[in-house]
Amino acid sequence: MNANAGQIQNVQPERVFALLHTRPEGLRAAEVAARLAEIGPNALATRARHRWLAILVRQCINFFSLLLDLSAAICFVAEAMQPGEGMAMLGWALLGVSVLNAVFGFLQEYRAERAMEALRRFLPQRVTVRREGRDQEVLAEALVPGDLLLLAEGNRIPADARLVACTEMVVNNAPLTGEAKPQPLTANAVQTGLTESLNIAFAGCAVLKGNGEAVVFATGDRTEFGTIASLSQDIRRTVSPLERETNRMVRVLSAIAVCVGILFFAYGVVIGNSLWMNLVWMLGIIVAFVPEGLLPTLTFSLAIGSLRMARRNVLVKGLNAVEAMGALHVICTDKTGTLTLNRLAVTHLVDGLRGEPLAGTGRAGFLRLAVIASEVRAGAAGFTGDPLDVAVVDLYAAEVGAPEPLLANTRRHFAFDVRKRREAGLYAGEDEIVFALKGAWESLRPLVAALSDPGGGPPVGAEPEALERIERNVAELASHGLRVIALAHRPLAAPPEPGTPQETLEQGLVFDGLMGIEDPLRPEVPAAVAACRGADIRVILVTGDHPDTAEAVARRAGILGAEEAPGRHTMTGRELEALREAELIERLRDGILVFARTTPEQKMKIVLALKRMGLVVGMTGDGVNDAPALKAADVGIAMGLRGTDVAREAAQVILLDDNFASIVNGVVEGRTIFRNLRKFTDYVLAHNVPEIVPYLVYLVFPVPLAINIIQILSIDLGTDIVPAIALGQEPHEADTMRRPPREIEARLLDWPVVAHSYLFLGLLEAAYSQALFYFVLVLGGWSYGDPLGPTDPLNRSGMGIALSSIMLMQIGNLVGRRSQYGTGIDLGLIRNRLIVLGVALEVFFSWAVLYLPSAHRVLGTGPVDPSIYALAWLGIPYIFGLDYLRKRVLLWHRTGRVVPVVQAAP
Amino acid sequence: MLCFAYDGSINGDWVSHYAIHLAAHHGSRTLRLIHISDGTLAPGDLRERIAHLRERCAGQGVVLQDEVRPRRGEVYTDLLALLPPGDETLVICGARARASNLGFLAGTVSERLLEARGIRTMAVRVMNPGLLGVPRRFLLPLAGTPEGLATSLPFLRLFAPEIETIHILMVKEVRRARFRHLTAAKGLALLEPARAYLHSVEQELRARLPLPAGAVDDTVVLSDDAPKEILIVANRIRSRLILLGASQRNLPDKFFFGNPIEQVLRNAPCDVAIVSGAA
Repeated sequence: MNANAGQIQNVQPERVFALLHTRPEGLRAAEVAARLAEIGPNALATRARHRWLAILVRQCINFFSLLLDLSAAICFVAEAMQPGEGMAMLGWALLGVSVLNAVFGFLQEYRAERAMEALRRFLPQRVTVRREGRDQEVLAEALVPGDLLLLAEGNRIPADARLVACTEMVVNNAPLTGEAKPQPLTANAVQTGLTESLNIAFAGCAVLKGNGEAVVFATGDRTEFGTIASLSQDIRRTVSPLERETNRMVRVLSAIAVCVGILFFAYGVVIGNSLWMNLVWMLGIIVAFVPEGLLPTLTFSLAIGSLRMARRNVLVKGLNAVEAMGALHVICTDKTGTLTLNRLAVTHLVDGLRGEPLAGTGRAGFLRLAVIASEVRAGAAGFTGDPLDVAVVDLYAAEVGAPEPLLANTRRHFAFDVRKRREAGLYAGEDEIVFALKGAWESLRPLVAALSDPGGGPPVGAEPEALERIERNVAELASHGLRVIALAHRPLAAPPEPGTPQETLEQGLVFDGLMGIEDPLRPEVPAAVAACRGADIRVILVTGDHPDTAEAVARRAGILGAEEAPGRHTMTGRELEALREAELIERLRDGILVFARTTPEQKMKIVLALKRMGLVVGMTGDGVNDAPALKAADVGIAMGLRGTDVAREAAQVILLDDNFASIVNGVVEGRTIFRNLRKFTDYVLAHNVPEIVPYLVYLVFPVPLAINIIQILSIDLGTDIVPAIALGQEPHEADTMRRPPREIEARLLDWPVVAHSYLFLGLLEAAYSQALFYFVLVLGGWSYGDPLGPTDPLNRSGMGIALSSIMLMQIGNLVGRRSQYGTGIDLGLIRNRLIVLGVALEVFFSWAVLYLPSAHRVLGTGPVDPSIYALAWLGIPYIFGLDYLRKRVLLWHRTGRVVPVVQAAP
Repeated sequence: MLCFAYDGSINGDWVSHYAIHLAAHHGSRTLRLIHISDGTLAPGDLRERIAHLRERCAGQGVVLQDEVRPRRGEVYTDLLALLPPGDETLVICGARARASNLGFLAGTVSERLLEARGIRTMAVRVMNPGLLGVPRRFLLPLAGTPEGLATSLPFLRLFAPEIETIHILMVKEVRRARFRHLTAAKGLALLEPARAYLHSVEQELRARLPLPAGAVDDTVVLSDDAPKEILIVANRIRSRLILLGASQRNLPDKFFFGNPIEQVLRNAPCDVAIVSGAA
């Protein structure tokens, strides 16, 4: 590489000023003003100011809302034509539902804007810069490229800046990288990519220790932080399968309704009916066909489902995610805290050479050095700091004694360096001066010059064979799922000069042994993973850990079976980086289940490859830079306990306990909801046919109309709402997690549902209600062709029994819908109390429409003889019995034998 | 000949990193800087900046030939008169640092250079000044038109020695209404021809550029919003430069906010270079 060519992190600090058009004494005021005018303030840009209005308008004109608005309009027209029948009230109710739907959708979409607010909180208000040779505090927004930024402990970094000088500076890059380990920075040139550079202070991150001077090279949206913010806004949530299905269903049903309505309007015109009469027919047919209650019921069912999920620690932010959880084919999960408890415990102290446990003085000496290489703070509730360091100090306190004297005499600490993968401490007590270092074996191995003797003898030389044996012991510990940390030290004759670099001290190290650290698996995880396997849901572990550790945890969790060959299903981030998307898809098809040593950015590549395979993908995440992947996934799952605000805002689902098992609970709920949605769709559509048949008959034959618009709406938006909601709340069935995920193209409204509800149940209900209607008319002296007005008492009684019988027959339909092949009663009627309430309401209203005077006034119905009402009750066993017969025939036809029906889960 | 249309701004200085870097890989190792002075920049400041550029050029073994001329008519026509004719001339210029009411390119000299026939132009929007013109990771969105790769190749050749990865992207665009209801199977079927096309482009790229093994990858995406897909892929592959070819056919009248090029320029997470060919 040309020494003079390269990115800003590649050049020597003294060249930075020239390349960024500034100087060590800082910019001049005129330069600042010119750059501010040209580049703009150091702030994250917001999208168009009136974007919220566009979102609101879009929600108001979507198909759902338009359909509800149309239904409301029909009600208002009906009120104008038949005043005093309560149609206006229904119209207002429909409008209310429409507004609620629109507001709900608006809030969901507007939430994406709030992710931006969460990001802004990472940036500081004021910063210190050097301009014209003077240090001054300015607003962070007034920062321009070329400004010399002065950073000190506790500062938040306002812009991306290249360090030109620094003293023991340590930053927390977690907001950007998700890596919680403190990161020491340097002013020297590095030969890495920009985002991995240790000489760049990134906007949004914080200075934990030390101080430095840095030249700003990117502000506002040009910072790495700004690009994440911008992308979080840009990525559109894909249309969920449920949204697509409900849109389609409403479109199909509405198209049928409108077509049939127009057809009969035309027919009426041809046969010479008045325009107003034709209009009433058309409206009646449309109202009868459109299931007005379906959408509010669906929304309500999803809302209740989301509450049920929340009780199982799965907080769902968008209602569609409730069902999307149930459609998942793949769950990509983190390890730490999700599969494991995130409680580190030192479980093995091993002589690295022999692989034997350390004991006695050798063990105590080992722990002493490990404490020196750790950094913790003592507090009222014990030690705090990095979980590994805390685990080491706790073990020392338990086995050796109080660690405070050791900690007090540890004069310098070299924070964990992610790139070097080690940390160190310098102890200078009265007894000795020692430099202790702990970290990954790969990072210590080149520095080791000798091996200590646990028996207390003098150290021996680090021969290649000995190092190979240590290597094998490291692999052995890692293969048990342990995180392996190597420990080494260097005795010093005198305290080193203050500021002596770590590299100088890391020479001639004596290797002391290995620590095995375990993060125990959550006890419920293996069962949850097994449930996923049973349900054909693939679980993929995506972690930053070593491949051996990742694989071991995957085996313990059951993601990898015991029979799987080591390494066969594991891929590292480096391999992933080098793969083309098509190759990655191929490897995923081959069965890659563990991604180790991956970065959060690589999650996006995994998500998109899985989506390209046509799979519905769930992805967990907690860091700011997980946000794009969380949004790109079909179901983004953020961690409630340890997740950042940005990740939580970007996700659709938040796990309140960060527990993998809760995801599986969510899947069970999601699957149950889709199944229930099909049940109540089938239920709701059935009553459309007995509502529409009277209009068709009325148009073609000289007979009275058996049902009016208000009566239709009383079923659609009245008596059928609670039973439909009750079906939406049915508990999950025992085989919910033994079935594969539903097909991505699976329909909520498919031909079997349409055929069953319209052509079977609907026709049965229409035949029986029409039979009772004409039976009452004939008993009352009516004969074919006699004109009978809608206010005629005989017609009102006929309408009453027709309406009452539809309501009662829906009870038989309701119970039958509970089970695909069983009776529905066998699931326990009182187990779902809403079913009981639904049945009670149907019974009450079937009586009220006949015998309650106020109902007569509103609905235009009249009473019948109780014996005829008793006949209407026969509609329940009539529908239930014939439907059950159909189920048995179907079952026999499919399996050739009688099989036990599916039971509800206990 | 590599020419750099320099306006003397800080954004111009950012773009100059690209110009110098490409000149270092150009056979002539010469960069011709052209500045049409309209009086907005003090002569002293301009001299200081050019001296600074000369110093950086020298650091990379590039000879800087500067040509500062007073403005006589329109900046564009003055500039055009100074550009050597012929296919060998490559012009580098900048998009606006901040969007005006029209966007990043509309109404700029760069827009007119891109539209001009007979000139190979690359207009750069610098999103990350820290790259210093060395992006290394490229995204090359193609529209499926024959001139797509031909337009970009002259510039890609100059970038080639520093390329780590180059990702070719083709967005198969379908109307929103259709996209929302497209089945997975139909979607896959629509992508097949695009895959074949990308495969041939990839072969051509490998044949024409000295790229390291495994440096080329491609993606075909079905979408109702091509600019947004470009941005998403750019982020996913951590692209540092989106090299977008602007076809001569659809360049005029398109540089407005609704235009895909403007949308990419506006929301890109990395540097963007718009190139037009010499046809």
